[in-house]
Amino acid sequence: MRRALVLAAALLAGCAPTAQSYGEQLFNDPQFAGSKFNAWSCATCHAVRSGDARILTGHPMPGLFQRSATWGGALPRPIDAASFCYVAFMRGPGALSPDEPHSKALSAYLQSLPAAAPSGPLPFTVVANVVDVAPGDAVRGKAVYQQACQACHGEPHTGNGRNSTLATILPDVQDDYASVFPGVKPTLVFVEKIRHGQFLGIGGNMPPFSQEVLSDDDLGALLGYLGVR
Amino acid sequence: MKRLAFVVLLALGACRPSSDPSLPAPSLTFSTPTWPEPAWWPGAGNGRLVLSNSRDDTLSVLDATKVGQATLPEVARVPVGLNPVEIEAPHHAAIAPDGSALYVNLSEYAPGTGTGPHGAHGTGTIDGKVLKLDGATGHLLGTTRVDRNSGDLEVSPDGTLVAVTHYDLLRIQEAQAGTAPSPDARVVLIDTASMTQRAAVMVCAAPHGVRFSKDGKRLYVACYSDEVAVVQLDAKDFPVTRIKVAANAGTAFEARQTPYALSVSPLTGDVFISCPRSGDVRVLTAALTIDDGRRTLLGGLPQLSGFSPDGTTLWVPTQGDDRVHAVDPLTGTRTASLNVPRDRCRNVHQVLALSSTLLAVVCEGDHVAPGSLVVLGTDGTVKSVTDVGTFPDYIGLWRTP
Repeated sequence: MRRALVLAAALLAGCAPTAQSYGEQLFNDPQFAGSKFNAWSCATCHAVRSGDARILTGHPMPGLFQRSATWGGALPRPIDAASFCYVAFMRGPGALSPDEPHSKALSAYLQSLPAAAPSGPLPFTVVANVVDVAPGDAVRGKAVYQQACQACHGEPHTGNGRNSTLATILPDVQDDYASVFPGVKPTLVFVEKIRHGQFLGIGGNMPPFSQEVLSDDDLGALLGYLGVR
Repeated sequence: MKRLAFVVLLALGACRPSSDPSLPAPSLTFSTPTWPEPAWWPGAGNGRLVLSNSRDDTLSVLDATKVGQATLPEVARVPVGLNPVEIEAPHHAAIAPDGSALYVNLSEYAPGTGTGPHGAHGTGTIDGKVLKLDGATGHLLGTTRVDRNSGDLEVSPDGTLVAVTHYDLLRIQEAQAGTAPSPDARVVLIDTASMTQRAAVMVCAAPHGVRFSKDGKRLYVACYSDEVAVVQLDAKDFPVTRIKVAANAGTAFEARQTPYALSVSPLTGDVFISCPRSGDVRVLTAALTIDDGRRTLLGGLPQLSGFSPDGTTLWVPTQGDDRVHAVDPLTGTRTASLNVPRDRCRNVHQVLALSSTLLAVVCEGDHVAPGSLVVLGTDGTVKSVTDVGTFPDYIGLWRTP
């Protein structure tokens, strides 16, 4: 028993989190938002290392503090960008306070990531006025789906593996479109949702895919793979 | 052995503190600054001109010490707003008298920005917001929700109030269709210290231009319904007096003068009302009577005017012909009409008289390409032209003591 206690004490002494390690935990933990309805962490949308093959709506985190602004230039302060994501996408209770320990730990982690040369904002073009996109190459579309959609929506038709039951099952959600959007081509509704996310009058908590991260060709391929017509 | 493994597992479990923000964070030592930010906010410097660019969610900030020179640089183009995805349409701004804060009106009315099967964004059905920005840092100090289609805003002379109008033309349509009880909209009075609404006063149909009297006891509001509303701020419940601007004035449903903006004379307290539909400037005396003898017919569509610093000249921009007119406020006589360089300036919107000889003229442009700021000499010479953001619609002089 004494041996166990000594070992436990040693383990506890060795595992006290640092600001950086706790920030990394928060970055990867949906619980950070404090909402039982949230299934997303910062890592859902942001890469922290090169070679991440996912197609992500958010920009990579390394170099964040060397950029002159975020969100394509719309938010100069990193904490404002983090707060926006925290509230709009993760259902957080309110803006992050710069002096609150959780917030400071997240910043400490982000500051520990590799720095980059000072730069302007990374481009983020919101396709505000949507137009229809023709369905394209289904083979390419499968890869796009796996890289961009599957983490949240799960497998097509079943939703197996989706990260939240609140995420719609694709492409079956289009079965409702005839009544919700009578006379509108389902492809256009898909395009609008992908390009606008929750914004511009839509709702939900999906982020938008900018022109830079998802080309119209890849969007068309996705529609082709999902069989949206 | 089993007990040992159990204790080890327990200990390892304790290694992972909760991420829940409602629980205390573990004890941490921070060696890095909290949330560093780039140098983005220009501050007041030795004086700035600030323009709101309503179609690209930015403020243009120019160096006021360079006014009159051949080049008037834009020092910074700073983003404003709460939503980086949607155009929130900052429509006008106001600057605290001591320069310590800037108030920006997010009108949420940006036609044509964002369409899809869900509909067109920016049809004026979303409530507006007023932001308070720290003049020293640009940080957001507070936000107040106001009504939809927020229009003009102005800070009281003592800096304690911001008045916000709501140019709600949609409400007039709704009232005409019988779906709204009245075409009238409200002026919201915001306490600047707490950024909460102190009052919301129903004034008239589609109120737009708003100015305080010099003593801060009255609020003058230009109303689409051919009238000026005067809100008595030092009386209980803020009583409103509505005064038609002409003997033949119409109504909200059949307006003839459509007052849009106004300026208060720093010398006499008289109010000069820009009326686009009748193409003239009308005068409401400080005694609250319309002085027809000083009506000035300008021809174009009068916009946001401004007095010379000594109060002896009223400068009025007119759209349609894109000119800037000098008016003698004592007689109503037009004493000069200046042209702007039309290849660089379309749709003049506001004039700010910077000195007895220099005028800053805001040019909206075509609402797609950048607008511009033209500095004109009062003799008509063009001193400088500076490209700014898209659809600029306000200019103010920002100084700190």
